[in-house]
Amino acid sequence: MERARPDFYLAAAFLALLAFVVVFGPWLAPYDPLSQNLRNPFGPPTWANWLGTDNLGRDVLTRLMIGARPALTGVLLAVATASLVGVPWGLSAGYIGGLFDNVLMRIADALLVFPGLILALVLTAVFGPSLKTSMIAIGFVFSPILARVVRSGVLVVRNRDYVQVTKLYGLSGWHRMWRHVLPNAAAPIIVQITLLMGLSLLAQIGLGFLGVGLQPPNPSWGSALAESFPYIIVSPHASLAPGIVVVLTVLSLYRIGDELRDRFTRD
Amino acid sequence: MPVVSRVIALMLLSAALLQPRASLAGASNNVLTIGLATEPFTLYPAMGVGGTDYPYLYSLFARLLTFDPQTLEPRPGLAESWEFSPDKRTFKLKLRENLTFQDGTALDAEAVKASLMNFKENGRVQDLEVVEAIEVTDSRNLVIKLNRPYSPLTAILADRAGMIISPTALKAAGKDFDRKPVGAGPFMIKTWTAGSNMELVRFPNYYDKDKIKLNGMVFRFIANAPSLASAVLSGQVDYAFGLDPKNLPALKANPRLRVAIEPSLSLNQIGIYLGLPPMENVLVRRALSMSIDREVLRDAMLGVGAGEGPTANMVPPTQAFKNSPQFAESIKYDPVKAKQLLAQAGFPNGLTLRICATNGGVGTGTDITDIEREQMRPAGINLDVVVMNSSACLQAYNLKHEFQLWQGGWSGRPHRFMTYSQYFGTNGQYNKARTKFPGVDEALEKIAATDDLEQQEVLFAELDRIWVEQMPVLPLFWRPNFSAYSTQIAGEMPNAQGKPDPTTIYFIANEKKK
Repeated sequence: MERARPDFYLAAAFLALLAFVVVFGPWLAPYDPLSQNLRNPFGPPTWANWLGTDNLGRDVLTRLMIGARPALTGVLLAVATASLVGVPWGLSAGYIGGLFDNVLMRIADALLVFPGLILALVLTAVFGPSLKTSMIAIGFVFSPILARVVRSGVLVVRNRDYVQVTKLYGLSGWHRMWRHVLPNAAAPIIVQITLLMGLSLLAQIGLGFLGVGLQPPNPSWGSALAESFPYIIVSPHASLAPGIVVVLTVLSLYRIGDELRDRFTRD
Repeated sequence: MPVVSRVIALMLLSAALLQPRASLAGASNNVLTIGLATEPFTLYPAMGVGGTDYPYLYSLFARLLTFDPQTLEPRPGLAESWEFSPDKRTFKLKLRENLTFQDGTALDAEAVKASLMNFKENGRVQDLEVVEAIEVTDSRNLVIKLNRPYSPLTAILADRAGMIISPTALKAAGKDFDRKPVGAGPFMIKTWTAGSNMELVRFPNYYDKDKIKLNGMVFRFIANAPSLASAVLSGQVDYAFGLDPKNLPALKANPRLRVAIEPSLSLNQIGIYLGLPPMENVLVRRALSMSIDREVLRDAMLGVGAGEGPTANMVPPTQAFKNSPQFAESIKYDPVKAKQLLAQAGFPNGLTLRICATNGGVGTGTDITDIEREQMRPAGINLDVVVMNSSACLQAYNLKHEFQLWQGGWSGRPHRFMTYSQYFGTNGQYNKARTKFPGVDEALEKIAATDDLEQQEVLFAELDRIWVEQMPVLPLFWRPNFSAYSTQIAGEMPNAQGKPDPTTIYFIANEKKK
């Protein structure tokens, strides 16, 4: 089997480190994420504060470590919502076909033309701002993308011999759809999910920046960017640390997605 | 400026440049470009409530009376003279000669009556509720009859209610008047592109036209604080008002700019809705006030020592009260005493209070609530912060009453009476729970009935005292105006109210040529 390029291992290592921080962050963080030192706003990186301090003199590294958990659990929540809605949606549309397929896909098209972040903002305005609401909203917004991918995969495999032969055995349509069609159309779905992970993290950061994600006092990557942004002219370094962490995470997720796609294509 | 800052300023500027600069702007055409953070909510004076509309309103509408921008004393406007009857129940006004509106309609006593009655009957604020009838004596004279003695009327006629609107334009535009405003101010509206800019041109028949040097003005709406600072740093706007103090070091370092920090009547506050328990309990409100270190908040929001300092009053307190121990006590941070007060109020284990905050402004979002939460913790108060956009936040607090507290600001009013009656009077528009505070309505009535300044001062000192005892709202610190002007312009008026009137600004080079 062909070996992956080194950047794949770098991406995997970064995500593994992030997963470690998600689990053990609260015990590893050097300071209390809420503890302020108003005499030291925007302190530069030092031995005491490796990534410097924020506008209220709080340790940036600590806040990023504590913020990793809501960031990644939020991503999982969004992707789970998108999968729970999008997979049955695309699977049934592709498998049943006809008018049913047409109706479901037109609904998907209608949702896709609507700007995703705006729809998520509307949903959080209705149900109240919180990480859970905003990430479920994002998952819902992304579900038609997944539905389209699932449907395309299903259209390819639904008339294959190994599917048709199950009819001879008298197996139910339900069984056929879930046990024989879906697993064989799974490859593009998995790739799409990794891409959606990156997209939902970016959307989460956007909503957090606008103040409708995780609510204070909990530190989040989006609020870290929002809090440092007003100072961007006089203290530009303050936005760098949260910005770099977000960029690296999204790039790593995409790199994993690329690798999975390549492997599935080769197989 | 360091290189990184320059790059970022350039990036922000390029975003700002995506908005087309109005074609006529610039010194060569004598058109001033002004950067403001807020687009007007409405240009129909009777329908407005937001303090940020004033720079636009001052440019478009002439007022019956004006006020000295420094002392806030009444001055002539459309009316050249005025007089109260001895019992303060009749107010006579004499208009200037040959006044017209921007649409050519004659601005006479009948037009003034129509404008005032429209404000009284349809206005969103109750400023003219005291007016019983208006009699037109002749084309330049009118008599306003009041239902009770009311000396603050002069301040009210120098505010929104006194902005006289064209009856012809109102009839033609109806509810659209807010997009097609016609007054008799120094400038007329030319275009208003929502979300981008507004162009105004000079009104040649303005009554005080000699004071107006510009041919036109362009207001650019730049909500984002770093972008507003970048726009003035790069010369895209000649004057920016409402700048974030966080950007002052970069602005001060620019030799092409003049930075002005002016004291004003505006302040940062924590609003309280007294209709939600336990905020009706005065002990809880006092404990809350004592659990805030106002000085630390001021230093963190505006810069160390900036502005006029911490305050527990909504108006600059009378001298008598400012020298009293009660005043010093009212702005002292004392979490231990706050905890005791909470125990007395029935909360020995502390309590949780919900506050709505808005990110984006100075001292209205998590920039300030994060500090407040830590300050309140030793007093046993857990501040539960929810961040929303500003209109959703105001709606949730003011109309739906979902929050006990609101993190916001106050732009001030030209007369102390207006601020106190709006917040403290039983029927005040910001006293949402209609709480009756002992002695307040009586003191307000007495102030309204006299124009003896000494007597008023004694009554205001009494109101100051009751205010800090009751703490119906928690004022935090005075907020100066932070503005930046290009060194090519001059002529701006002082602005104690925090509501700039940009109409007298001019380009120095153009005036020298004359």
